Amino acid sequence: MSGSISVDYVSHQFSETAEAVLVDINLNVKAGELVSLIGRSGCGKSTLLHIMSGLVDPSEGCVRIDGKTVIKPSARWNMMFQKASLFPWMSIRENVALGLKFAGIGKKEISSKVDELLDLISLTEKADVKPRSLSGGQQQRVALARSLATSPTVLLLDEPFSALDTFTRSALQQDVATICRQKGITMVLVTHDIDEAVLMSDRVLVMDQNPGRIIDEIAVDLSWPRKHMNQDFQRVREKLLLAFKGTEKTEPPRTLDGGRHGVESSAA
Amino acid sequence: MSGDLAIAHNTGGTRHQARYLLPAFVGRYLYPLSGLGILFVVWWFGGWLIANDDDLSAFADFAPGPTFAALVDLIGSGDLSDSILSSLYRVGTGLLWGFAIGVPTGILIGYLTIAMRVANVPFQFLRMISPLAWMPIAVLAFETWDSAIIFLIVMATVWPIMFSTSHGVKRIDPDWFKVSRNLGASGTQMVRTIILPAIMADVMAGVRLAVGVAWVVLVPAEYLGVTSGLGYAINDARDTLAYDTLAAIVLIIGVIGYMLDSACAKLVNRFNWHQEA
Repeated sequence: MSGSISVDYVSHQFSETAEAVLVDINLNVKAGELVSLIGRSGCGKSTLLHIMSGLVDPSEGCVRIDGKTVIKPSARWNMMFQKASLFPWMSIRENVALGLKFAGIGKKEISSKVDELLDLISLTEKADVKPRSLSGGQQQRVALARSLATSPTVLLLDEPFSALDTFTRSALQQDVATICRQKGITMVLVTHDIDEAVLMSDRVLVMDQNPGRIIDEIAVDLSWPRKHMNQDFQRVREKLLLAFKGTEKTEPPRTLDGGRHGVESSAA
Repeated sequence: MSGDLAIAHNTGGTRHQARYLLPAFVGRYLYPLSGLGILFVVWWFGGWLIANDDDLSAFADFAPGPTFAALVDLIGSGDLSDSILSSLYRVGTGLLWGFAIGVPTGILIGYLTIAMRVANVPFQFLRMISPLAWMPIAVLAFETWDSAIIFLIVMATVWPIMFSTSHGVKRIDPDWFKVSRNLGASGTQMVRTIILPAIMADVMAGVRLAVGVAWVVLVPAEYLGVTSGLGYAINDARDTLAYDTLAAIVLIIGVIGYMLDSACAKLVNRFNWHQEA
């Protein structure tokens, strides 16, 4: 199975004079593993995800996926954003097919793949409508199908459910985790929702801010499918909450030149 | 009983439909026709005043009656279609060049901030120069009168198309670039599949503005040396004191201008994904 991620000594600042956003991030994710990055707003978790995807170049260090250094975005490690960002002039079918079209796949193959994905997200009957006529949850399902179309080995999720209502969010959380597990896709989810992290992950990494670094790691050894009311779920949740509370104290910001003090993740 | 009810229901439905159809008809036809009617009355009244003024009566042929008579003669003679085709050829060619220069430059200055910063001052400077001010330079620089006129039309059309395109590029959701890069789009694929469809409504809005300006610039531009086109026909009619023919050509210019603008408005709507459901 492919899709292993290795983040090695990644530090980042957006300009030479700016404060460091991330310092000495070391992290290994096994192929097919579901990992969540959790932390307060501004702790750099989204930046770390952007670096993993190749959308942002790190100031120092590197990311490797299946041993190859990530130097630019690729359809093999796909990212889903907070907004579905569907293209409004395209039909749902065309939106889902986009990555395949970019890859130069033949029309027939695209058509059968898209049909399969629309069936997976239960939106077959909406194939020919424009995104505007879909609800937020349905749009996010289409974005998921679009990400899955190129058969990625890694799915990077940047708070993709945060703008959705509770019912839709809950359904999509279950769906995405199930799809990733069934297809053996490695998932890295950025969230600030503790329940979401426990619900969807094998492992949760807690990030601190100023500068962003990984300070704790909690294994989620629960069976699937997971239920919120389950006693074991609450146990892991409490553990995570305690770790999360540890991020309340903030340290003075530092630049990368100001010496390294990152706490290396035990996952590294 | 049930039949009565059905009839009553149907009658109510027809009344209900009629209530909504009437405002639709008024909005679509009655208001524009009223506006045209008012314009015609003002024209007719102006003609009547001129005809009854001893100092101005030489210009009485500007009135609707002589104008429509001249229009029928013009259409019958076949000269009108030649003039129209010559003018449309010049506007069309000028517009094509304006489009070919304006769209890529607009994409460049809309996408790259540095390009915008470099180009902004010179482009704003050039934009503010009346296209007709280039007339002497155009005459010197081009071998044929046709090319000189087309150059003037390019100078009129390139700016609205360029700035509208650049505005469209700036309005593109930055997340679309991230998503398409993520899906493996190359530079060309990004332009063809994302940027062009995203900005097409803005480009067409620019083309609509450009068509308006080009059509306005065309008439004085065709005073330059050429012996064909609607501008030349107006000039010729003035020189031969054929005011009825002159007014008929003005009428034709207005009608064609309106038709071109309507066609552009349809294109803007065709590409306007903001309104699509």
